[in-house]
Amino acid sequence: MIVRKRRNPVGAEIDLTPVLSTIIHIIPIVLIAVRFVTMNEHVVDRAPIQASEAPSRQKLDEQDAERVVVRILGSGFAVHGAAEADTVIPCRAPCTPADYDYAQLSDAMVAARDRHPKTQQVIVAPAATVPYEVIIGVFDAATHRKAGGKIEPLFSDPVLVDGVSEASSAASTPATGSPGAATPFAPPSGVP
Amino acid sequence: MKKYKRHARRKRNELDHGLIITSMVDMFTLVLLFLLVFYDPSYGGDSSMELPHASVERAVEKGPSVRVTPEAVTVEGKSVLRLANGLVGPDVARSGPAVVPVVEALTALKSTNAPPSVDAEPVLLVECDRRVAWSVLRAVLDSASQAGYPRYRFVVLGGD
Repeated sequence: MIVRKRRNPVGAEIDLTPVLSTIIHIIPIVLIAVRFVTMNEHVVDRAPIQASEAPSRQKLDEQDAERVVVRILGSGFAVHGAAEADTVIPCRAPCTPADYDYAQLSDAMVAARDRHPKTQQVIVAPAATVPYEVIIGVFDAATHRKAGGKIEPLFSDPVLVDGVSEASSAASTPATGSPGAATPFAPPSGVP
Repeated sequence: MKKYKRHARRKRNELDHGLIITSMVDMFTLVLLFLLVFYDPSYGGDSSMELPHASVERAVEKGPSVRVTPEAVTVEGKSVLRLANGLVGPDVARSGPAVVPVVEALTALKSTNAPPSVDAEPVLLVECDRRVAWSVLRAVLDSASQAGYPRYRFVVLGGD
């Protein structure tokens, strides 16, 4: 009787070299395909309000005395609370998105939060030519403020409204921080 | 001499074991699994798209999406509107402020993507290039509203 000797004795290890080789080839492929960015989101719960839906000025006054509006103009920001003068925050020339003063806007929003503690709504009214980047910057400044590692919530309900024309806003815009020069607030078309 | 040969053979057998790579395979397998879990093949990254940065910390949820770049508006990866110099062309069909091709594409999308519950309003993910003007974005949002998406989420890049 011929007894064949087992070539591979029991207990021999599996050769993992090809497996390792395959994995090492797959990892760089996946690394190239993956985008290592953190994508977050700003939530807006209402569609933009159009001019045709805008209620009358009298109804506006009756409805919401706590209204806070941020107008985004080609020349800067204008922040307005009910029965208050506009706070105008001009941007540096040449007024590219990076030239807007978000720090000062954030201060203005904190002040508006203190003056209007009951409302969570902030109305954002950009001019037609304003880039999206600036709108998101305003959302950031209006919804929360980061200070010393802490997040201070401001207005949780941003509402986008149909844009404001540069001409009409310029006509109703007083000088920065000069209440004496303030003119009555003319809401942009479509402010709820 | 005999003793020396036996010792040398034993020594050679010890050295023949080779490199133990089991733990290395374990490690690489875990790395690969990690990458595969976070790799979303449905996200067609667009190198021309520049999302704005924001300090908001709310993670993006999954949902139907519309992408707006200075060149085009795409719904779920399908181009539905070409922009001319970053603006909606005058020859494009409009329905009020809304843009008809975008309304049609989003209406078709809504019919295929039912919201999680009957009461829940559908939410649209808006991936918009940071350079896009508000007039264009507004037209897209109005179109979304007409198509039955009154709520939307602006996708931004996280971190300060």
